[in-house]
Amino acid sequence: MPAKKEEGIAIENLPGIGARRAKLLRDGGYPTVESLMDATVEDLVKINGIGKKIAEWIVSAVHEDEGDEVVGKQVMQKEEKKVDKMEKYSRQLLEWSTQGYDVSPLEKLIKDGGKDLDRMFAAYEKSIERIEHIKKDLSTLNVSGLDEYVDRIMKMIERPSKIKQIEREYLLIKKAAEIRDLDYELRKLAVPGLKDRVEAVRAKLRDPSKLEEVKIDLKDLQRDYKENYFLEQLSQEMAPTPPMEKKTIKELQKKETGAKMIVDDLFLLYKKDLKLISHHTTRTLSKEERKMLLAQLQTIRSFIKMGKSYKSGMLNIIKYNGRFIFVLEGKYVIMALSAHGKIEKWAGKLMEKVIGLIEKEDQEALKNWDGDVAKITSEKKNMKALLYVSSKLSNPPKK
Amino acid sequence: MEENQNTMKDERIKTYVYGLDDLMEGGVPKNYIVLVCGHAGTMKSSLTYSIIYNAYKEKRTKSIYLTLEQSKESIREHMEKLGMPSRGMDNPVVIDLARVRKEIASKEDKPKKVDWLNSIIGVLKNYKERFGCEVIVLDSLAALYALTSFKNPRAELFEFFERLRDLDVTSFLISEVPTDRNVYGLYGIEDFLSDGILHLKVQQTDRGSNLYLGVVKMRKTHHSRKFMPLIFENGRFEVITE
Repeated sequence: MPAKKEEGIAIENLPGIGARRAKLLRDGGYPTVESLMDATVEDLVKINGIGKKIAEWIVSAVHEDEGDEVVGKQVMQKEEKKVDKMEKYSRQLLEWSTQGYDVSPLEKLIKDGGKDLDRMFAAYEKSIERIEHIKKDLSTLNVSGLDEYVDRIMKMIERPSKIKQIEREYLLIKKAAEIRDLDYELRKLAVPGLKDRVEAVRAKLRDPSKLEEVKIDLKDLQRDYKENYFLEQLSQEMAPTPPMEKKTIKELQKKETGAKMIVDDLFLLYKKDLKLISHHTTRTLSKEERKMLLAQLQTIRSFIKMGKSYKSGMLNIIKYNGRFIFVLEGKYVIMALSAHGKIEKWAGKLMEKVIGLIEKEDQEALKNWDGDVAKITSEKKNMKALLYVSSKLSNPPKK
Repeated sequence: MEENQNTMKDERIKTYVYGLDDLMEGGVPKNYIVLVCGHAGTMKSSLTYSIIYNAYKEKRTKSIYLTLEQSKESIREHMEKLGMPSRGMDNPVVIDLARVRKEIASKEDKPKKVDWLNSIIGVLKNYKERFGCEVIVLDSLAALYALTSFKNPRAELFEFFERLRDLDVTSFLISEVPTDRNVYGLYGIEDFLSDGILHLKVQQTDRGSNLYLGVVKMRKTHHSRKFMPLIFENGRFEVITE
């Protein structure tokens, strides 16, 4: 490349032009190479001492030089482009790694002078776009109870190179959420009368290929649940007032002597609307017994609703079909214990204890209970414990 | 905009009977009490069930079908044969009142007097609050009357209709027309207590019998009183208007 001076490139820099010819050209009005750019052979031959051959040489040399410059520029641009692209990649890598993504596979590729950088970067960009979409979806998805799935996907969510596995895990988590929601809806319907059907449908949830069938079954159960609710309410409205015996526990204790007390059924009701939270028994119930259970439940509800004989905050007792039913209320729940045989004092104490435990453990859920039995997590173990202790107290070990 | 305002003021429950809604300015005005009358075998139950069945399928309108005439299973089976299967649908809800009636009757400690009218209204109110309900069908008024010993039918029926109106639901009451009198209900007052009357008739012809439907009454609605042939095909009813 010719050396550059302030006034331009010196004529001497042209190949084949020595000091003598340079002087002739300068004297002829061409002080620099630039000034020769527009000069033609005809112009140059007018200068004394410059013949046609030399003039042609000078013109071609000037333009050849110009040509070299163009080629030089192209090479420079290419070089610059390469530098630009690498800069762009570096910036992109920095941005992705700031976002928390693992870019080590791309860094390695660059370091090894990988030839397929454009394609690899494009694929990475696409994977990151998809991951961002999945992350957004996951942020709105209720993932409670799905920790195992969440842990698994979170371990790889920042590795765009694992996009296929991420997609697979994402589908699994969505399906698991769907199964969990269906199970939640089904559990809400597990009332006496529908419990067996609900359990049968819940069992189908173990087979993911049966999800569509479960959805159809759920709709049928929801319809039947509403029908049962209506009929139960109507039967309650029409139920005759149960004859109440105005007797004290002491009097009843005196009367029921001999046989030991056997607890048959335990009911837990929500105090506000008397909705059944749960029923527990140690017996296996026949269809007929289930019907009787509903009648028993109606009697308990009517007794509480009537209010005349019912004393809130105290242990109440109802005589019913040869049995007696203890009714005791807490802050949020009412417990009814149905038993036969001899009346025992420990029943009331146990009930009080268990109500206290349930209300303590599930205080938040019970404050404004929405009817979802699954939210009252402590009732099952406590009610079952009550049944167990009752059976032990009824049958003390022989000494 | 104008259309929206009109819809807001005048919401209607479509019958989904082809041709009929156009004849009643779009359907039955919301919260109306409509008598569906006719002799036995005029498809009163099928027509009303098809209204609530299609209303749920098309607009997710929640409804209850209270039956005192047939059992729930019998109704479902019949409707399925007509192309209205209930599998996988949480609506309409069919309440088998006949079963409750039987259960009460079989109880040893059965109550001396059951207030069916008020009990049903009371439970409907609770049910609506809990699950939502926009339309109810009562099949039938005559069967309900059979359970009720009226001291003063006019006053008690008036009160029943008023309490029904207070529920803010659209009601279709199926009423078997007495053959000996020109009235739409057993007590002869149901027609003026109701807001609308759909009358179904069978006409004998040489080649068999044809079913006809007439809109005898529909308050605040321009409608023809002409009886039109009613046909049922592929799970949908249609009135022939030409």
